[in-house]
Amino acid sequence: MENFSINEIIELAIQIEKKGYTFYNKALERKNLSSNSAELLKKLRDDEIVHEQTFKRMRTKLNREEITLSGDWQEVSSYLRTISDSHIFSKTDAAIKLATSAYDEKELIENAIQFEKDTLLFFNSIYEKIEDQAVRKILKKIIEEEVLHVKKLKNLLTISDV
Amino acid sequence: MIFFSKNEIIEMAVKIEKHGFAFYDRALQRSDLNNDAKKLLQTLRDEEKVHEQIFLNLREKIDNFDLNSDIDWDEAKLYIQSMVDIHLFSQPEKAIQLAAKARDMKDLVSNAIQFEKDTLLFFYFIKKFVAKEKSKKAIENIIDEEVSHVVKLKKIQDTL
Repeated sequence: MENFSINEIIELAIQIEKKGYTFYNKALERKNLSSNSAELLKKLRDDEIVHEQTFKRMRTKLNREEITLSGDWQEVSSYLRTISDSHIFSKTDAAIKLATSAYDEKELIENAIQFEKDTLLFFNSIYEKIEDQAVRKILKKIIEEEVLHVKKLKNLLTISDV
Repeated sequence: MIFFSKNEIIEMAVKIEKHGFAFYDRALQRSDLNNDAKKLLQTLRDEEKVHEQIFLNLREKIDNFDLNSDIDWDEAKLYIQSMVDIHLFSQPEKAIQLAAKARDMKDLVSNAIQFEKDTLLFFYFIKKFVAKEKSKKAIENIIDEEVSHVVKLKKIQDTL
């Protein structure tokens, strides 16, 4: 199996953010969402667009530069492929299905938490193996924002009547 | 000011490895395992025990000064607590329940993958807070092994 190139990895990150947007956007079409949930889902949806744009700018920048990858890239590439394949939205239309077919608001929020966790794992995995400081700085910021997403979703589950 | 002592962080890691051991140990009591699955679950169980010991040894070796003083500890507390709260085995009984009550092999392996992924997330974050190279390296080695757990479990999952 071919190793991932950096461009392919950034493309995966863009696809993850796109799917996150799709999920949250679809979730907002559900009837009977509590106002707390609707407010948070809107914010998360909008954040995913910003993240997608950030990764797109990163891809443009990287096209013009050499990027240093860690020495064991073949192994890393294989691991990243595994993590990417096990992402909750990896199958076609999974994002839409998980938004529309969630039994109730509780299950919807649990799906959202799973999405954010899988995304965090993927981004942390890349962060560990990229040596370029500028890329790491951008990834770090996005990771921090995704952690906040998880925290807010978890709070919603515990404090509301969801 | 440091909001977590290194003991608290190590204790969380030890607990996660203990719960992992409990999960795999209980899973091995199931009657629906094929030989490949049994062999893998034994390996994973034994490695969790080794990891627990490594963290216990780290507790003896590192002290608070090994925690990264560049970190914003308000931020760190947020991350660490979040990663513990969202861990699949955040409650002790959950590990055993998820091993015993899994509908079938597919469900069991899915739970195992989730556990390993949640554990990895937690370790990625605690690695950020440790300053000393030797301690960082110890955690990195464990991360690499947990990564191999995910890869092996995924291979089994793909055959089911």
